[in-house]
Amino acid sequence: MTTGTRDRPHVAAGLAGLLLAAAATGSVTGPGATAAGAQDPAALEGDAANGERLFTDYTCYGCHGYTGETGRGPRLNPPRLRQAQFIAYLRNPPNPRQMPPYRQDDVSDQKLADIYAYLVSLPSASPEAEDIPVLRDILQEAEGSAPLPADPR
Amino acid sequence: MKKKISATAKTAPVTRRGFLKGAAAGAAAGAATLADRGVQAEPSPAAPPAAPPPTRTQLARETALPPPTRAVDAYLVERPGSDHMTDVLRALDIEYCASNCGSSFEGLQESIVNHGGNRRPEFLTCLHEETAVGMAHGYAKVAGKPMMALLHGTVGIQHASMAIYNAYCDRVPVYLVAGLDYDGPVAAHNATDLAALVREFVKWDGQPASLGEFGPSAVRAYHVATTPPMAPALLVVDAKLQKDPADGDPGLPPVSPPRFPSADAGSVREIARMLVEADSPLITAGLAARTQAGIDLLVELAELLQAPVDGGGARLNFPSRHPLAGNGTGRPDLVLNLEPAGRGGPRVPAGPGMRTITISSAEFLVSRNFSIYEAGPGAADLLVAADAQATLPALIEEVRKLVTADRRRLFEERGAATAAAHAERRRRDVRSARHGWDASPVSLARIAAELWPLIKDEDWSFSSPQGFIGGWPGRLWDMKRSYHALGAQGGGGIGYSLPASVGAALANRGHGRITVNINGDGDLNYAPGALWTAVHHRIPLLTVVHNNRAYHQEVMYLQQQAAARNRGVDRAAIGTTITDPNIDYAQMAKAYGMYAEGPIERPADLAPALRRGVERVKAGEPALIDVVSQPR
Repeated sequence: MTTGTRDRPHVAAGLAGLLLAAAATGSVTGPGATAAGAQDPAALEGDAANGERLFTDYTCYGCHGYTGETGRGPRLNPPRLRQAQFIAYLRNPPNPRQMPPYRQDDVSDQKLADIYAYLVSLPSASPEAEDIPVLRDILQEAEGSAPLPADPR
Repeated sequence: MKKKISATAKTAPVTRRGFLKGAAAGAAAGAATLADRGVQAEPSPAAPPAAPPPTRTQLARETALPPPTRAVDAYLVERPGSDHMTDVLRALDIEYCASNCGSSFEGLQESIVNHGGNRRPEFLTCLHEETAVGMAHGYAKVAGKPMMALLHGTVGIQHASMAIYNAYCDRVPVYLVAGLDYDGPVAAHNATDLAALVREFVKWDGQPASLGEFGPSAVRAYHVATTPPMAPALLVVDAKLQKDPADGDPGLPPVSPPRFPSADAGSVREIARMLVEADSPLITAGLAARTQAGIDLLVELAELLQAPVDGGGARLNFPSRHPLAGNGTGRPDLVLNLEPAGRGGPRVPAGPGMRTITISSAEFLVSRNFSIYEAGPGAADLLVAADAQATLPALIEEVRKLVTADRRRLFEERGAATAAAHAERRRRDVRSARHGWDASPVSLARIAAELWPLIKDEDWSFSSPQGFIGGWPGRLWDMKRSYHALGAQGGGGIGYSLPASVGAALANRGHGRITVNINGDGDLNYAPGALWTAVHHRIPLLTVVHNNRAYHQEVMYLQQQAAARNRGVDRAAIGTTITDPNIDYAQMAKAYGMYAEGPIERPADLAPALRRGVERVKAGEPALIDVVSQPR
């Protein structure tokens, strides 16, 4: 996912908005959230390849970016919810105006599990800022700014 | 011989009628000379037999012009009215006239290029009227004075109408002139009341009935457009006035711009008292700073009060890295709104214990049909109809009188907390630019970050809106000059970025300043002909295409609608995306004669391409880099 240009339609408010709302409330990263590796034994087996297609078709990338790391929504890469939490969140996002709800009769649990599997499969495309020379320089510029000027009169 | 001709031309200017007479005589003399000398082409050996050479009589009949007749004398015009119009435009110091040519103003166009020598104003060839007015919009934001946009009758005005509306909402002056030709070839290009087409969003319009009225009307249009609240003004000029000879010398009218409307002394004192007494004031600025002086004044007021300033995104009102930039800490107890810019500007929701003051010149800009000024920060406890920038000097002096030592100590504590919050937010912004840094498509943060080292040591100007690009330039770049961020469309009309950037780059060109435009692909497709205008007129501008292959805001809106209705969440791409086929913007730019690269898909290719583009711009030409980008 970190390579290859997406030559496809863009639509993405769904997952994007979901995570955006989650970030605002802290629920995605709150207590109980675990890394993707620790899965419920009852979790559905996801198809990452199909999940990639759905991530595009449902325009999740619109708010979360093609690697789940950019945009206005919360970061999805790496996922910080377990699969069951993830599915539950998409069904009932706390702020549906930001993260549209995806209901069972339109999007099955299996499809959401596939998207989840895709997110788990994504490598990170986000090095640390200190490891990016351009950003490191801008950070240093910011730190080196003049102190708050006093009123001269 | 050459010297003699030059001397004659200097002392006795050749009139059009005289020029034609001379040309006729010269042609006849030339023909006679050739025939006398028996000059003829040497026939090629392989060529068929040549026809016998024409006789001297035949040559004279074929090449000589007939002697002037009364019909020609009646046709030729000495001192057409449009010459005077051109003189008036020069007196108003109008440097450029952007236009897509049309027969209703051919008289004025001819005077500009011949009588005026195509200088002040210089005619700029545009491929669409929306481009002409958009260029004037961007130019005025840098130059601080209006550009003329010359429009052709009903069709030109209607083509230009969206750009006029944007400038009106953005409170930017544009000097509009429209031709009206009742004797023209297409009756549909005329109207009984031509200005009515855009009257609701121009500040003033006039149609001089005589050449003598043209000058005063032209000055009036200029004064109205450039007095806050600034906005486009429209002058309708009858083709007959342009073409008929001037009857006497109308003379140049006096140009004496009015002073700007500042708040009354009582209101200034009241606002100053409220600001000094407030424990946690917040200043918001929408369209407050028209010039660098406005930014400097706002800095002075903020530092005096040690109050945070939310500069909004409509244009640069406050330096991006100033320690007082931002919303400060906690909830304000007093908000001073300076020229709110509607929904696009900073807004603080009203709440218990919070008072609001608004200073806005928009109170003088009344439209019967549009409600662009009703979406500001809400009802104010104190609403003052005045120009904020013009009011700031008096307000600063009044605040200075009221600050006591006790209040100053409190202000300093407040300033320190605000500076800490600002520094923390800035660090967070820069660090967040790392997200998706190595992703393909390229992240918008990376586009802005990679541009910064290429321009930061130059004199630079950022000309396009930031709303659709995550605000990354403002978050990463050190913006402190008024031309560092020219802001948005005003009316939200898409198709603004490219024409406005070309106009801004034209104004920047004289300062040797690099202009950067990060242009959405959807926006670029409205008026791509502006690329040609930039090339044709050698306007240095770097355009980086934010090519997300969609009208992405609408993608998200449609997805939300589908989700709210619990159906078809996989169909939001229909009607909102620009794929199948993908548009090759580098090829598009090349077709207009512009240096271009792209599509850039690998992030590692971005910086070298941008560097080459910047080098082209520094050499004085426009360049376009097409970057396939993340949606936001």
